[in-house]
Amino acid sequence: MMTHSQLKQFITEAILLLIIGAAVVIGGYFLSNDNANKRVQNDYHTRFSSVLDASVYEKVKSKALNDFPEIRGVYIGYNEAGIPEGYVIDLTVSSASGQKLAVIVSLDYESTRVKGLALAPNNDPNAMQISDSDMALISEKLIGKQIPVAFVTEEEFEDDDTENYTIKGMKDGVYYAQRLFDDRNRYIDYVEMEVVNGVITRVNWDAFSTDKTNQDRGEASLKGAYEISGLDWATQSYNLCHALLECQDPDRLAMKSDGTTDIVDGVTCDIRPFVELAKECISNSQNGYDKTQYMKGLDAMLINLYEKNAEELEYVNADGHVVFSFEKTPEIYTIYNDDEVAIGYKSVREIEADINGTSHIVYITPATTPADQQDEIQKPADYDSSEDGLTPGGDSENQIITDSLDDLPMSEMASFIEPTPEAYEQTRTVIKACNTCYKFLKEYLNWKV
Amino acid sequence: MSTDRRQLAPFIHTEKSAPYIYLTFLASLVPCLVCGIFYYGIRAAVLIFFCMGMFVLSDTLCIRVTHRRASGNYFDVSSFVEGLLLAMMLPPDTTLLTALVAVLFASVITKQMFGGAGSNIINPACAGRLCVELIMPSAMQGFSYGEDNSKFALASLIFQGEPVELPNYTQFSFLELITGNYPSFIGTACLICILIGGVFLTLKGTMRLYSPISYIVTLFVLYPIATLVETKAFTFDGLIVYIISSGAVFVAVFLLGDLTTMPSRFSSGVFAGVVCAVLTLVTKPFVSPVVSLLAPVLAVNFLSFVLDFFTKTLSRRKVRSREVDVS
Repeated sequence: MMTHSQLKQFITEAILLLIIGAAVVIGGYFLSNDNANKRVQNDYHTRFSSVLDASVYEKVKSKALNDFPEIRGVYIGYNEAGIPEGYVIDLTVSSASGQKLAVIVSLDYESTRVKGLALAPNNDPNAMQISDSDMALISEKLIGKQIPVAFVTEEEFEDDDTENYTIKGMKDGVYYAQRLFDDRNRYIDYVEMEVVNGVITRVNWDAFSTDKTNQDRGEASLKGAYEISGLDWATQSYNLCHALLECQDPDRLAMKSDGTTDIVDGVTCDIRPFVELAKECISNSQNGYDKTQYMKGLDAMLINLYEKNAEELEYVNADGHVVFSFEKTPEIYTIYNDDEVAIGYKSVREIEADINGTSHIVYITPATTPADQQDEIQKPADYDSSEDGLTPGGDSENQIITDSLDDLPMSEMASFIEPTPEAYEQTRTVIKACNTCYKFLKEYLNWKV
Repeated sequence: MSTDRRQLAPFIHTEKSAPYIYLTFLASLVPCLVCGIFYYGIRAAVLIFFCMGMFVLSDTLCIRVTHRRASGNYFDVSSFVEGLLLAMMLPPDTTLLTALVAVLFASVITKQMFGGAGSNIINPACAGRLCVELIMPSAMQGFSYGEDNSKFALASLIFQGEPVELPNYTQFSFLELITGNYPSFIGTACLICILIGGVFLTLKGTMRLYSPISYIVTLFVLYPIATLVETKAFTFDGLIVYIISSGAVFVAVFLLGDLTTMPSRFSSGVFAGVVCAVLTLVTKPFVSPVVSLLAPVLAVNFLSFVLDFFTKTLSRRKVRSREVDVS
């Protein structure tokens, strides 16, 4: 065993070594750190000077990067005066065919326009190959453009410049559509839409209760009587109506198969009733079937069933809505195929045409109660909204994404470029990289779009 | 010298008892420990103390299980030393699980199975480190450095990150290399700290210089030849960078200077150092740098007993023959 003096000596020596070690390490660190910084800056210059010629590059440390695993590093380039020149984003994105493209994108600090593009070294065996000439062409198209970027299409050349997009053939007036059956909470959804100069200028989506003593859904949600996940229903309805006013087409809301959308901030509810009713309103508008005629159509349906109109049946509430669910007579509004399977719903205009005998469509009366079949309704192509942002029936190879691109709504796109025909996938992948940069900056800078 | 007036047993001719040697060794590693914690922060500290704690725990449990309980007056400090030495050779982003595997192998297989402290044939820390390098190579590549190196990050202790490719050390300045300001293992980076530890051990008489010096000299002499054969190109800078950054100096001071596992005689010590260096250079092109550095150490650990035996026998024969001649 050690003696006490040895132990004391050991402790003294250990402390002495600790002090000497600390002095060496800290002193060495400060003496050598200049070299380390120079080396790091030299490395950055080698990698980034082709896309952004800055005096000093500083790496961005942000929690936002955790949400973007494809981004390897984000840097801010400063000029000699210490003024930020732009962002340099080093990232690897996957193409539609799964190939990896490592690319460095530089963006202007103020305007976030693309300042430079360069391919980064990529040792991945599945790396996407872009020839220098193709890269030069792609860079030429993208440099100077503000992100996010999308492809232009022939259709967009003609009538879709995004900001001024409207659906053709819409007549001015106030249009209305309501569901012909109530939901589980006994609410009947309705959409009212006003069109001025062929542009949708006002949209309202709400639902009234078949129990006349209850409040409308919007009001009930604001008072806490109707709760859904996320924001209250009234706010979500408002956001969705606002989004429709911006994009002017329910198909551009990129409703997914589960009835939700990812592209409207704060909207988590099922938007299928809204999309279907808004489409019906637009169809009514194109056919000059305004709200007054719609109400008459409902009356015609009631008269056909009960030989009395809504007023006489006392189905009209204080707001003038026809508070009646046709769920017990589904045959009047359901479309069936040859196998007597429900495949969709008719609009009031179509039902009225049926009643008046002006319709040429032949429908088969179902043998079973259609209410039981509601869950297994197969939607015809006419009723399909664009799934996950893709144009229904588009060319699968070079399908143009019209509603959303890289999880960004088309209404948010700032620039449009033409694809490089001989390097379509490459151009598309570089665009994806640019849009990834946009999404990161949006989160990093907390942009309000 | 000690001023303690208690008498040592008549057969003990030195005050350098086992605890004294181990504590001296522990103290010599303090500068490297400071360097590791300074550059790699909390996770390095946690890793170091975890290795030490687990080594002590493992050794204690083994002793209890095998009923080889030491007397109440003796506390085995070697566990702390081995744990610290092992931690010094781990990458900074090693997970605790990987460290535990290394510790258990070092403690149970290479130390306790051979009889515990002072009885082990090979260096336990070296064997433990080599074990995880061979069976978990991807877990031994956690080198966050530069702007990716956060001193307060702890996640790497639990979750194994992506392997990090080490930069070309020739990019680093001489000052960075000797002060440890470059990505490396926790305690093997700072040349100055290692040398301070080496000088301290030498001054305290708890390190034999034969093997370390012959090892480094051999590396200096043979590295140019090995590099010319391997790459047909040699630069003096490359030699310096290799000696400083590869961990060879750490191996020389703390593994080849070990009293327990290295030959005790001058000639055998020199021979072991030369053999170790030759094996390192021969295996360098074929295996990972860590394996080429540590496997030769274990090889000469195995050889040391044989080397000592032969050198002892030879010297006795010389003495006998001289005695005969005189007579």
